[in-house]
Amino acid sequence: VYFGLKIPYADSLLVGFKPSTKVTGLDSVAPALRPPAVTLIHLAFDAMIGLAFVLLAAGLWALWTWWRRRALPRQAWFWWLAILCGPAALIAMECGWIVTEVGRQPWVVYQLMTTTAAATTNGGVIDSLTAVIILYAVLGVVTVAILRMLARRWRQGPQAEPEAGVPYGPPEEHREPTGREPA
Amino acid sequence: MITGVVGGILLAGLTLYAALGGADFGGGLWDLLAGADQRGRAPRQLIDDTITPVWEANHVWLIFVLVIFWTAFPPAFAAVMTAAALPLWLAAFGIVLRGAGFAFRKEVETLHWQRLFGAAFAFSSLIVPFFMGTVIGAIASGRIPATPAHTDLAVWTGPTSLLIGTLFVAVCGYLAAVFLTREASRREDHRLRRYFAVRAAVAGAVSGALSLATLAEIRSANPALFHGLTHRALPLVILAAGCGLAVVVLLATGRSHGLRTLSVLGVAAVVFGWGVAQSPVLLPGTGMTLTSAAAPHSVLVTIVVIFVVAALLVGPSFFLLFSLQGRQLLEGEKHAEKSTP
Repeated sequence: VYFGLKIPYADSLLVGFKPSTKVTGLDSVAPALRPPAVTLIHLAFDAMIGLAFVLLAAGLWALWTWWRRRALPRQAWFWWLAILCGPAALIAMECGWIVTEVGRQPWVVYQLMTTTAAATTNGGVIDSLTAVIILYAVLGVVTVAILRMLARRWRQGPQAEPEAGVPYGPPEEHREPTGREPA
Repeated sequence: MITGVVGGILLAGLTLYAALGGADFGGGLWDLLAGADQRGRAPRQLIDDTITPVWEANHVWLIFVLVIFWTAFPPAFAAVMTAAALPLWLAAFGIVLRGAGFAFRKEVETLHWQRLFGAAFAFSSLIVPFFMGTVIGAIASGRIPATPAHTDLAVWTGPTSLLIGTLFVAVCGYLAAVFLTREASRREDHRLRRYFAVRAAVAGAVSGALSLATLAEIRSANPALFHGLTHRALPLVILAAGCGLAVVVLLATGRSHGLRTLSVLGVAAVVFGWGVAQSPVLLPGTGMTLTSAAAPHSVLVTIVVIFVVAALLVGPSFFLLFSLQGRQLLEGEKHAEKSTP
């Protein structure tokens, strides 16, 4: 640990709410049952907590100025921070998932079932995973494209709303140029 | 005893999913068959209006059914998920594409893209109930092995599976057409009422014929289940047939009250009829029963408690959602926008 602050008994207090709690470390677990990539778990945990404090700071900053003068901060870099808060929240959440999911390996249910025992015996796991990634990548791109399109339309004002109501079907042979159903 | 209660909860969830999710899929089916964009405009508009506020809520029941099945009967769940992995994957892809297509098609500007997403929505509405039906068929005909090593085409492509898959599509169309008939008549749109009443009657007749064909097929595929359906579950089978006939009579005489209740009651009778006829067997052909495949007692008690709490929380919310939708309070913005030009 570099640049660490030593707080005596803090770990024991966190785990057992009293200074005498013995914290069980990874070295008490048989090597075969230890999770892989301990550094990854550690860094993911640090990133999650670090980002949590960044988000907290941004919120407190806004609350503080709101309390003082009923307005959000005027500083430009508060707004840059606010923009970063969106992705930061997502990254913190993903890091949390890495901590729990990588951290409990090789167990899928702690001390009851290993991930190997729980995995499907079907082949094609990589294939289906690839298919899911491709599907969601396409949907992700389409979502962003549609959100951008909506933003553009709203910037142009209400008259830019598309005229057609429910034209989802295949084209009629003799289409009315107005696109409206004759009453 | 408690395994029977949990089995009943599972059947109730299946009924709700079949009735509400089924009507939802059926809406997509009629959207697919509504024809070219001028002719199909009015029915598509009605389908859109009725599905938009509730389509996400209706699919909650699928998650409910999967979670109860998984936690209450893990070995049976594992066997079904492994042996029928392929149709379940296809159904899952269909569900994702359906939701995305439905949400996206409203927002894109050009007709070209609206048609593409509309087609994704409508086509996946057809394939999802079909593949789900093949899995139910695989279970009912006893083709799921107790400890399958991998998915197998033979498991879910038997005649029972294909019949039940087709039956599911027909029932979805039937439910949706019945609901849309009721909706059109409430809006006093007589042209659309007739449009959907004809489709409801046709889909009802097709569903009835497919049900009889399935029953005949089950007689050879799973004699024990057939015996259950014609003895212990006979009252439910008769109830289902009676509901179907009553709906057709109501449609023919131009009435709309009681249509929805009768059609949902018919679906419930089919689902519970299956459960009663098969019980206590959980997976026919494997020896897995409600008791032998059940999770430990404490898990089952937790499931029953959670079900009661969830019913207390979710029940009123759904009642509010459907009554708001029934009073057309959820589409105010859209209607105002439509009436301006």
